Amino acid sequence: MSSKLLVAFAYLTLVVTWVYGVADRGWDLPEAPIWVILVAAQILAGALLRWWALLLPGAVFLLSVPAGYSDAYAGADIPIWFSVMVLGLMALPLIVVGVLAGYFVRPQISRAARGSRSARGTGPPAASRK
Amino acid sequence: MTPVLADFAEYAGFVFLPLVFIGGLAALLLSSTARLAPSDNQSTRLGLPGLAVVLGLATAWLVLYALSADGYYGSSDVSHWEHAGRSVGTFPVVLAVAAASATIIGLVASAVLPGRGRLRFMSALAAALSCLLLLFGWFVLAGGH
Repeated sequence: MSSKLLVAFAYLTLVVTWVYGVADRGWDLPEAPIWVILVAAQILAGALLRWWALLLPGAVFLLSVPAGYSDAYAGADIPIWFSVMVLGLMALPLIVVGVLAGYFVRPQISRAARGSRSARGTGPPAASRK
Repeated sequence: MTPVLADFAEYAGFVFLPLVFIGGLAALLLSSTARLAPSDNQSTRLGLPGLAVVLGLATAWLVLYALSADGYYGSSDVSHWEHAGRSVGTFPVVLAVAAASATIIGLVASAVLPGRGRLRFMSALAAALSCLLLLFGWFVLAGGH
């Protein structure tokens, strides 16, 4: 459980930094890598936290409410929390993709780990082999 | 307040907000097992002092954030505390700091004293409530722009 809380903490830190750093204060960062990182974060959160990850966009929405209107983009017509809500709705399918990918990938990883463990030392000792 | 401290108060929020949110969840989870788990159980032994550290750091950050200048007002030196006083009021912030301070004492006592399942349960539950109050206190300081 503690590892899942750590993953949720990492996700929230990343997205809150985006909300208050990039959307609110207008940090001048390259856009494409940021979006790639954010999309990857949704998929990874889904894969690691399974269905619990669907609650995370709601938490981000709650934490983004005080941001109000952007300080950096004075002409912005909509508050940041509204953009976060829309993006959160778009994040939900990505999280589901991550959850489903996790169901496929996790058994293969554990099978590979079991295979490497038995290859390393669980076989019979060399002296007992004929 | 020096500009370095003011910047720290602004940017530390990126870490402290998720920390308080996750700390509250962890406290809720811990409260469900704290009454029954013996005090030498690892999650209880590490969890309660860990929550005390999280609450202490978050409280210190909230006080620092309240004292720092609110960027919304531009060059005028209006702090987040003054901004909260003009809108919702500063009572939620005072309540959050007081609740978190009392909870820290309870958490330390429950970690130090052996047995005391009820104290462990109550302090874990109080930690969850304090996290919620700290988040609300921050809402009051940062919101309303």
